[in-house]
Amino acid sequence: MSGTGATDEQDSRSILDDQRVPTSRRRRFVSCFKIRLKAILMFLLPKKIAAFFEPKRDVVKIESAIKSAILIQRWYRLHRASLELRKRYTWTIFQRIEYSSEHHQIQVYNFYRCLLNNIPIVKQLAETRVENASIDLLNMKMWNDAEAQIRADKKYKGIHVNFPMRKADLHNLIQHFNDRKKPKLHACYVAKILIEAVFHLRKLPNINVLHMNVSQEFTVCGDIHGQLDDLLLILQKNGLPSQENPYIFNGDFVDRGKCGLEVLLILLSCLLVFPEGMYLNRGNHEDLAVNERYGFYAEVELKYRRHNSNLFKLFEELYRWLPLATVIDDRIFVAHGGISDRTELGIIRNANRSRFDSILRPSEMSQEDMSEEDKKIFNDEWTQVRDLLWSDPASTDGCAANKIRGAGTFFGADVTEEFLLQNDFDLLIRSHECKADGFEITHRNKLITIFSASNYYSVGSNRGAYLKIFGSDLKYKVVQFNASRAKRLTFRERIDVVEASAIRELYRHIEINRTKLLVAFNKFDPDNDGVISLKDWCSCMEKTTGLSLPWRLLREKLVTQDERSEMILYNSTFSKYKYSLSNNGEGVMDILYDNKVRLQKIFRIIDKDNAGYICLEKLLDACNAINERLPNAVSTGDLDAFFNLMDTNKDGGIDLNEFLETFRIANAGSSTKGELPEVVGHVDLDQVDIVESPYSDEVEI
Amino acid sequence: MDEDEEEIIVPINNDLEKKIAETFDIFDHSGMRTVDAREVGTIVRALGCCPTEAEVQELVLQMEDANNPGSIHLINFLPVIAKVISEHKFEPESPAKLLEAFHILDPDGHGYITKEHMSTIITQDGEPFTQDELDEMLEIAIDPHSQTIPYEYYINQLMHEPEGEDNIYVLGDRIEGEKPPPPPPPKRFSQIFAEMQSQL
Repeated sequence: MSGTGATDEQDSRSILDDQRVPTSRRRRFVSCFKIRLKAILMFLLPKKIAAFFEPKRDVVKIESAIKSAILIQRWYRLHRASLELRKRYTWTIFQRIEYSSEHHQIQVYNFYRCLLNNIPIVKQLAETRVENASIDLLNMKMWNDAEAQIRADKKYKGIHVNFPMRKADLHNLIQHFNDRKKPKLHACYVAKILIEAVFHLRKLPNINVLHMNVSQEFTVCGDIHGQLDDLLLILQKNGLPSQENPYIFNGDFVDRGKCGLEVLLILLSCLLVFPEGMYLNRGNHEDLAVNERYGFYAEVELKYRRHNSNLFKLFEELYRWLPLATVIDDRIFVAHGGISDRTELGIIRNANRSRFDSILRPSEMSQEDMSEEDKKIFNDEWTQVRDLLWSDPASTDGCAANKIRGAGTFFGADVTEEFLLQNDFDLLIRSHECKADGFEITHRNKLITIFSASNYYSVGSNRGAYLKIFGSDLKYKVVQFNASRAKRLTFRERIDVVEASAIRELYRHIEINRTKLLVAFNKFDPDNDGVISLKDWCSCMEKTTGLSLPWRLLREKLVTQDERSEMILYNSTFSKYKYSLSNNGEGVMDILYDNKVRLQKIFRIIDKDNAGYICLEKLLDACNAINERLPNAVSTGDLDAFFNLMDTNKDGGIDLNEFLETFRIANAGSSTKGELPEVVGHVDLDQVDIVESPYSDEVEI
Repeated sequence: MDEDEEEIIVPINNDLEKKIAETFDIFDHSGMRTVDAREVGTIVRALGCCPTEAEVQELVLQMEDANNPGSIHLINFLPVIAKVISEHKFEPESPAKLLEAFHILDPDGHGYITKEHMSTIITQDGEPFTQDELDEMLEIAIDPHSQTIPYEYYINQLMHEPEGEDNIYVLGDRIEGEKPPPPPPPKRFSQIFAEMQSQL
């Protein structure tokens, strides 16, 4: 519908109307006279006289030029808004999938931990918990022996690291990791760096304190997420950390990217070599529970098959001792997630941060012999830690539970201001959320989000950035970067590329839920025509995938719609899916982890009579056993729903695959019942082709 | 902390309101059904309306809530925009009018406008562009060889003629048509009296 027919109305936009006409009589007379005179003269002496009258025409010309400009500007802004819309919902797709996985993970992980911690035999079998931080448990002797052997061995072509680490060692390490063709660093050096780092971190307070008197500037970096290229780019552009050039790395060093280990080792080495130049804050991904799902666990298992269980003990120890926040010059507060309206630095400063091996579900949670008083202290501290590492800022005032992530809060500008006021701070810096420009300044300039992993969701999705703060008045400047070597795209091209990537992720997510979706669709299609209404389709998609997305807007990309009846042919939801096996782990959503051994053990325990499947009764028995040791840990009301969730083919029993599928893993290629969807993103470690150095972990321990 | 914060339930009665709400929600970061007031222009345009910046400001004034400045809730946004659409306000001009506008800026009829000329006009006249908007526009508008803007080609790039109910005004018309007719106005006593008389 264009503007035709609207020219008479007041909102008419025709630029050629409403030329102002002089209204007074005298003026009208004069203008009439002028017109007639002009006409006569034009007839007699066209060009010269015409030139005489030019100025007036110019005024009209300018007016209509301005009106043209306005029209062009309006049109452009209309076009730009439709691009912006696509950009936003693309972002929403990525975020919703990411956070719903996190949320789902939290729910499921709670159940899982409950089983692990409370079924006595399982507890023994499980290898994760580290009771006390003692040197024996860190196995210092074992690693030292391994090192001695490696040093003597001529076949090892990797580098050797000397302790205590010096600048040369740090340079060596960075060079080594930069060159991907070099052989792997031996596990004993990985372990020793971790151990040294733990010793160092234990001495640090819960909240790092940084003063600017020595250095006149410092740099704050956000999430790196295993993207080694980004870290190396930052260090190259901004220099290595030192007393004159201090850095704060604000959490989330690992998970998702493929080089979490290298990133972590470089950061820890910097910490060891330049203790005055490196400050690390813990992020929500510095948590084994989260690593199990988001890639770091799998990465370490892949790289150090023989030693991974020992290394994981060290990671857990490392995570416990990472500081929770940093304060700069008593004026700037830096934490990974954010704050809440109940954040009290007093509690945080006095807390025993090492009790939080995992922040999602710390093992201490299940101790029954805690006094009421101790329980209260524990809960207070746990809440503080969760708020610091999981919260997100909101655009509305107030403070609410963060339902999207499942932990932490949404805090408004008023909460930020109150917090800064109470603690006499000027600025709050945090990370935790990916931003298209790599940073965002909100809450009336009192809050900065800084994110340092460029191209996080896909190539072209976002820039990375780091913050430089300098001077005694704490001015700041943001430096953006892009570690991708992709060619420079226009704005619209970038949107196309990133949107395509988001839709691919969405297809994957849909495919994972295929069986459940078909069941849902069938409910609305009793005659089995293969069609349902748009409204029903949207509601099925949202409820089954659990993703709150603009499904109506997205329907064109996801499904076929009959032109006349406008009904949705729902089977086409799946035909659009093209999963190419060659897409090996490029997307951030690739959930590579393999915890099946552990879960298999749990399954076998619950399946007492070895029938091969778990019926509701057996599950109930298992949960009752938990409830005996930890009252009301699992309510039977939830259990029904949980059981139905796990029993995807609705045959009344949960077999091993369904059990594992609930925890987002499955035995690739050994699906016992053909209807189960192929779980995408799983890597069967035995089948992966790894180029290993001739010297792999052959040392016998 | 408010564990039980009041979530304002917004009634959605028809497809038009659904579409408006869905687009609105895409710009909502917090999940509380509010958006930053500075994004109202983008949301309204993303729906398919074409107001000027001044008109956007007027809309914002209508939707604002004194208790929450700078933030617009869906419950205020929805009725204002539904009305705009049913009244056919801010409908985009036809591409023909856009072409006319370019012709005015190119009186000699070259078929293109130079980069400098366009930059000057667009950043100084009318409702000026910011440097970012200018850079983005030039990205697609400029022909890299001649460094000018061949406007007819550019108009094709901007073309945005949604069909059927993808056009929000068409959808609005359908919804208006589906509404029940308003009840007849209450009769005045004189009318009732007259009727009674005529029946006698």
